[in-house]
Amino acid sequence: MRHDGSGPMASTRRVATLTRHNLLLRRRDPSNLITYMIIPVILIALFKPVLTRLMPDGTAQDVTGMLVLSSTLTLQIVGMSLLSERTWKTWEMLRTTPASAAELLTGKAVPVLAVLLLQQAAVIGYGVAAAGLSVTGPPFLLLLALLVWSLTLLAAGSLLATLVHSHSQLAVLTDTGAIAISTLAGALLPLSMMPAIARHLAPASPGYWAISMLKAAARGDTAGTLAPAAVLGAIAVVAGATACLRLRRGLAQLRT
Amino acid sequence: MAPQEISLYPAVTVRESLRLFGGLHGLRRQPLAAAITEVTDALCLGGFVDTRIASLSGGQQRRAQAAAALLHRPPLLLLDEPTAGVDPQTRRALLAALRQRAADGAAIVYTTHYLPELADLHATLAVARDGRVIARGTAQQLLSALPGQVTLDLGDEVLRVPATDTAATLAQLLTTISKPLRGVSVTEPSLDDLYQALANAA
Repeated sequence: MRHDGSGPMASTRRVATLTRHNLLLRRRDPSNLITYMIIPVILIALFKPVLTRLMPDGTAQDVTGMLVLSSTLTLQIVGMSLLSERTWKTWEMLRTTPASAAELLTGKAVPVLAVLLLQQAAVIGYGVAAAGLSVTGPPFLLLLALLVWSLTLLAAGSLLATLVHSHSQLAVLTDTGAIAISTLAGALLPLSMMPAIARHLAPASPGYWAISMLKAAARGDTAGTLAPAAVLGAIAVVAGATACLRLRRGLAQLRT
Repeated sequence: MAPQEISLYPAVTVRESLRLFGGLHGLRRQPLAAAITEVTDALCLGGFVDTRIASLSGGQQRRAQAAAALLHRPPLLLLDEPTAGVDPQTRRALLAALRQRAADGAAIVYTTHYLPELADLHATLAVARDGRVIARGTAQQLLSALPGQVTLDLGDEVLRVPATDTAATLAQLLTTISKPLRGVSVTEPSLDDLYQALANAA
């Protein structure tokens, strides 16, 4: 059967088609996701003895810190999902179909968001099961925190994809960015042990707010979760809006 | 639309590509499966539907791209040099599929630098230079203004006579030549000659 191209039903079907297709693309290249799932497992095990000795909430710091480090590395997955449309020249082909730019972006965002949530849920699950992370708060609070952080990464990765010209540029930016954001957030070393300037600069890192939010969600502190969530939400809105503005010019025409 | 450069996902198969573009154009289930079979058969891709795009040859990728453009039977088709760098089999299959779509009522805008294939399309031609159309008409109309050539080999000399009506000129020459003929050839103007003449005149 052939459907009329307008209306919410047709739009939903196109988004479903795009989502299925983008999930297929993700399944065909799972190496990045597998890597970013293995990295936190190893790092959590390695850092736990040190962080539990240095901090009263060392286990929570260990798991949430490594979650933030590994999930910022997944910015590369987010960026690549958009950048590949440029390098494969498929975006302009998609634009000739009845699918709107919003539908195309939604179809791309849903699978990537699922990948981010899956990766972070796996790290939390490992943290609880193997590292002894205590989650005393309601599950929805933790889920909200994971969702906010995933949306922030999605928006930031999309913006990055509109700024770079090649996969190697994206890799350099995401790798160095992930290390800088995570280190400044205290993911590798407690902030109290870092130089004063680093402690002052820490709130400039989205990872700092992510770790605060995730630790608060794990212990069931609603106010402590929502405040950093609002900061991250603002970052996501600004990054997402800027990415959308740049995408309106068309992926093929994008230049830094 | 089929852009000049291959614009397909390398990691998916021909069938998966066609499912995506067919689905975005509103085709589903049985009609989608039937359209995929029809277009891949027409473009001689039947044996490659479950092969990934990255594993196809350049000509097969071109046909897969054309299949994505033809799949949903658009009323208007824009094809930018769809036969650039392809093998004769691909060119034949593409042109046959396009002739069929044109016969079914589709309007086709087709750009190419390989002019002989335009004669096979029996289309209205527009010659563009520097972004402007400098001539328009059927191949026959455009070529009628260009002279052909009648060549007579008389042994000790070769006679080359430009002629707009080569048959009449040849008939006239044969009645006036008294020397024995070693050979006769008639060259009709080609679309390449037309383009060259228009380019020189512009």
